[in-house]
Amino acid sequence: MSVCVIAASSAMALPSQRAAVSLPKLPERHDLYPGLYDENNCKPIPADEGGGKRCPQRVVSEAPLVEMPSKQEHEHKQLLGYVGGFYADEISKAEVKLLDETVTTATAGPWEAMGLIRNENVNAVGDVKVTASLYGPGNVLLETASGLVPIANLRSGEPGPFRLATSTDTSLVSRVEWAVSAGHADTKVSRDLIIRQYFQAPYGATETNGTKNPYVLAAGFQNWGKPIDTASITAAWLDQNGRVVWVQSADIAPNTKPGIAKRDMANFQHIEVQAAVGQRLHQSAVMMWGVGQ
Amino acid sequence: MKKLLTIVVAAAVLLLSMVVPGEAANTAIFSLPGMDDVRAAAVRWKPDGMRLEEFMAMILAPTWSEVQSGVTTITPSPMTQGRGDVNQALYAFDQDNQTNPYKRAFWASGMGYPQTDIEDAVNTQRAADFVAQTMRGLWDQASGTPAQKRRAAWWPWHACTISLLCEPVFKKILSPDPDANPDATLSLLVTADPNVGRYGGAYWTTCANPATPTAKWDCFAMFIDLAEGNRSWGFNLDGTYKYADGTYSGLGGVSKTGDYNPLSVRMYQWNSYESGVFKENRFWSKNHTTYANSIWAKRLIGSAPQNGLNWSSHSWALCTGSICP
Repeated sequence: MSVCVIAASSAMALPSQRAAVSLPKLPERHDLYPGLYDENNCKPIPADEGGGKRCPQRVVSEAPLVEMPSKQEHEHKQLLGYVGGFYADEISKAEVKLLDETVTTATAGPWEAMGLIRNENVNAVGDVKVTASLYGPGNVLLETASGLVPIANLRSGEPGPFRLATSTDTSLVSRVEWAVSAGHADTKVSRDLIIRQYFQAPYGATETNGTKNPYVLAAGFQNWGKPIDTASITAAWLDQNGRVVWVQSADIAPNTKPGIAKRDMANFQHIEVQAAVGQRLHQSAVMMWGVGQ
Repeated sequence: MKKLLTIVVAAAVLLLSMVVPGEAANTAIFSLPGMDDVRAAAVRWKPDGMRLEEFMAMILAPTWSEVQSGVTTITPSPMTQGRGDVNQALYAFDQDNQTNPYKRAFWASGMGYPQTDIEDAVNTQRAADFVAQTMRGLWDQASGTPAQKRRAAWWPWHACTISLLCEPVFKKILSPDPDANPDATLSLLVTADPNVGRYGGAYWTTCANPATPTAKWDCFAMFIDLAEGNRSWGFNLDGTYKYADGTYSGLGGVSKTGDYNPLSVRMYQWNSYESGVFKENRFWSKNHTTYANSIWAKRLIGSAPQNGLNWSSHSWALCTGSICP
């Protein structure tokens, strides 16, 4: 796959230098769960068990015989409005960058693609558009497809997912040229949501009434920023090689009152995925983006 | 644990006094200290205007629903290990096949009777508080009828939102129907079971590395064979293990009746703080298993374990309590 990355709009252009990213960290646990933790993350021991507190341990161990680090742990982050890997601690260039190693393209049938881009600007961006130009033999342009990243306020260092679909048969494509553009972030959009994954149900689980369920991702959030009236979630699933295999969004659950203040909680509608794709998602790592408005 | 049970007998008497005569025996049963913990959590987080028994029933309804398909006449086990989660990352060293020598060093992601992956799920006090806080938040932000608001409050539980088991349980354990009788005094039709403790048979002890035996830390012993309450998730009626070495054939995507994830062997759990992050640790010590080496798994607290665990093996075994191997 040939990759061409075009810098974001000039308004976002910055000097080419590395810069640390200010990560939108989650609040401390004693603030999130009052009474369950103290300011040192110690847990109170019930009075009927003698009282006191139990604090996180520092356990020293010699080198293990064998170690298999988590595939995601080294880069997995839980931040306000975001859960997953690929969120950069520092950025290198003034661009919105295609993360080539995350891109999956169709191997048969109509050409389509899914993957991640990352905002490597110092500022947040919006209207991020990913464009793929498909070329056939003889360098003939077959089709150009574009898709918007569904995150209207993509913060510095943050990745974002995209999906592209075309009507061109994959067998005709000999080369792909990529471009990524971005505009200003929508500042009315809040990203200060604490995303809570509730459960994943695998596709095909049989219910007591005999029906087979789709794959389900259930999640909700706690607002930790300015008041919002609604919210949405976007999820991307990665295969074991870290490539995006599906992207899907869901709105806030029905019967949610508007006026969601700081600390208020609400649910997202379930993300349901049927057979062909749904069958393999429960084995995938999930990334999630939360957006409030 | 015996001391704990003695202390909370008074609470049991109080709870039993709320039971409508003749109904309780066939209605529902729940851990005695667990009920005490649910009551305390309900007092703390009860939505404005809601009756205490109503909120207690809301907190309790997912428990029977999640771990025993809504059967309320058996006390759920606080040490329940979820056996339906399907993800290769939960198996030792990500090996989900029958030849994995450490297959029963399995990271069950749904723990306790709320079947959450919070770090204290096998602790009825902390689990009840967490659950109550969550339900309160979701109830407050939902609109609609009481039933619709309950559905929103139960959204995090598969048994409630997918299997729809919680509403019938809720209605079953309250008398009279709270929706039809908004001003009535409610009775919770739940018998307190003094044989199931706050940790359901698990207990706190100390652990140490034998190389530094005086550097002890608190650890939580979860020995599955000591589980109290309903043991059907792990044991057959004759007390033998149920599908102990199971491999969930749903790994291909479709579950089949009778397939389960492996049943974890005896393990120790604790939380650690490393390099600026909190981690939940689970340790299968070779002196408490048949393994040639000890197996240690860690996850970032707050991260779904399916998103990745750190697995390692070690030549040393834990010192526990005053005993070193």
